[in-house]
Amino acid sequence: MFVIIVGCNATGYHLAKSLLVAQHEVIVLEKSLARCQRLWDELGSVVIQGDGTDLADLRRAGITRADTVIAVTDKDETNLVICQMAKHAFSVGRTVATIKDTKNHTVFRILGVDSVVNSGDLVLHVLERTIVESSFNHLATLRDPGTFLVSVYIPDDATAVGKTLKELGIITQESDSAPENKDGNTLAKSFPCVVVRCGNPMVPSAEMALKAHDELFAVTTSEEESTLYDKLTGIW
Amino acid sequence: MQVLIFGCTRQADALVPVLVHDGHHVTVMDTDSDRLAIMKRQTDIEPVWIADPLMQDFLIEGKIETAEAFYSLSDDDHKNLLLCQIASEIYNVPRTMCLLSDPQLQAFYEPLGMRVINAGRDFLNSAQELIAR
Repeated sequence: MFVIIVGCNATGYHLAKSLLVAQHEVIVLEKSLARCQRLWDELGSVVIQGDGTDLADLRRAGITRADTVIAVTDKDETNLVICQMAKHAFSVGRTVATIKDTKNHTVFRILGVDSVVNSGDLVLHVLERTIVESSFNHLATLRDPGTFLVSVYIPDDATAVGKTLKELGIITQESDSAPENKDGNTLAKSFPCVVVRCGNPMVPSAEMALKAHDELFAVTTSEEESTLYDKLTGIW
Repeated sequence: MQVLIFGCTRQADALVPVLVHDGHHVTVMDTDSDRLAIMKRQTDIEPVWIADPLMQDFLIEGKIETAEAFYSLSDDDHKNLLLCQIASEIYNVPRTMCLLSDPQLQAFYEPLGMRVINAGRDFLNSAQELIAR
């Protein structure tokens, strides 16, 4: 596969090296001449000095026959412009952009970027997992932007202990209406999939009362995750 | 009309008093609080001071959800392009305009349906004309 990487920061550099090891054809386009000069010693002619948002420089990098363009510059907006040029001017099959601002995910997907990698979120999720005490974990980012699979551990002192999922507003019996809590925070897009109690997985139901040390796995969205977390672990 | 402007640039300096004079409600966003304060002292605007990286949260603070027009006038072409596309695609702002200084970017984005204002292309044409005569 022929891959063009735009931006040779730490991400671009290591990505280029691993793709080269995996026998792919790689060109790295980097704007800064000083950076390029250092990289030429290490990576050789794979690195080209040029601006990834300049049509002529992209052409010089061989974009007309590229299978994939990966934009990893430090600026979200620049990565968008690179991907849009690759897609609309050169019909590149697959465009990939890294972003730092989570909220850009949706707009990048709408505007036709094939894969959006949220570098900020990934680091955050790994950090979360390394903190053993954390009772809220992102387990997976789902295909729909802003949708996650999470696990929530119910602590001893949570108000949710002894309350049913219906009382917590997490499940309603009329499945077609959005469940609404008394404080007006809806959890319409959150769905509990399984509750693990003392090592036994159970299917959640509206009448199921939560116990301390339960672990609840749910699909939720970026807007609702903090409400879900507060409901399940908070004291209110 | 409710108008949202990103960027306290010279272009905004010229545009904002005209819009306010015509009776429009103008909100101006910028990352530089000094420039906003100066503009606020001269014209009746609603300033929103923004700080990266939470761009989209500040758009909501600037009431983009109800804005009827959005001008992206900062001196960062790429930022203008991103914000204009967020305004039209996510918040369905009916009128958006994007300031670009790179003629090549204008040539690329105009056919995609974006309204671009650009000193760059006029500059290129005029500059060539000057010595062509």
